[in-house]
Amino acid sequence: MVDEDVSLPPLRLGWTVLAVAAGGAIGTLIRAEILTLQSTPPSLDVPSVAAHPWTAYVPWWLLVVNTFGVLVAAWLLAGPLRGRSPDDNWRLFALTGFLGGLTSYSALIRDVDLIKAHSIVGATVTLVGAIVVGVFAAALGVLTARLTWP
Amino acid sequence: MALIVMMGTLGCLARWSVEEVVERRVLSHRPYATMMVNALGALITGFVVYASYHGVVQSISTSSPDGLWTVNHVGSRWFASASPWLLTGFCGGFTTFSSAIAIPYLDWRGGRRYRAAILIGATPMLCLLGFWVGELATRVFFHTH
Repeated sequence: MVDEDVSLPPLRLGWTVLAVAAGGAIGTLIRAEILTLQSTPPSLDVPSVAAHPWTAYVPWWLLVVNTFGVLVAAWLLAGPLRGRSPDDNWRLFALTGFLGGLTSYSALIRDVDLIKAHSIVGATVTLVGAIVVGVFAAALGVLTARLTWP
Repeated sequence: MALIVMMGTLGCLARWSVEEVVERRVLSHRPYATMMVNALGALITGFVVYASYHGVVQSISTSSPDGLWTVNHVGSRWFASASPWLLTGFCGGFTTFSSAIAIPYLDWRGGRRYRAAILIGATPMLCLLGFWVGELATRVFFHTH
């Protein structure tokens, strides 16, 4: 990343806000719809803690969405958006807006905390696993960019 | 769903604003802004999750409702009912996983390995810390232990 003038003229601000908002709305809508596919995990009360293994609380769909988001983000950054400033409207739309709205770190932490009530090992495996798989997805995204974006 | 999407959009705009403010000071610090946003989003999530939870516990364990019980109960019910748009909506849009992993990975490839390692490693730590601070805050807020 090269340090450069990052001042934003007022006229550009409207387009920038629109880019982030439009991307964020689409991303949030898709994530919210996909997350309804996963049934709500049993509550934190004691009987259900005993009755369910920790794997019942793993947020599979969220993990899929997050991993997909990392893959696309890496592909964009190494391919179509390579060399663009963080203030580029297309980058703001796709990366800050759409993929930012699509993926969620807070939901992952919430579910890791839920798993922790059942198994510390399970919570650690889920969090570290999500990040490790995410890094591999980023690598795959960069590789795909090299193959698809000369 | 419309409210969730609206709050998610607001969350994205809030994240971008924080990144923008930090970036205007030091361009290369933008990813740290993303990290702090994620930690703050986790803190809000921790608060909302346990604010909803404490009310449930109290409504079961308190036999004779007093003033405190009523306030706690109403507050918790509100947080429980607001969870979809506060958590799936605002916090989901506010926090991001894609930038939290993809940008450090490209940093790593670009030779900025120190920064990449800090971002990848510290983000989950700060998020967990934030979540637990949020949980702790509900104990103070709802006077429970």
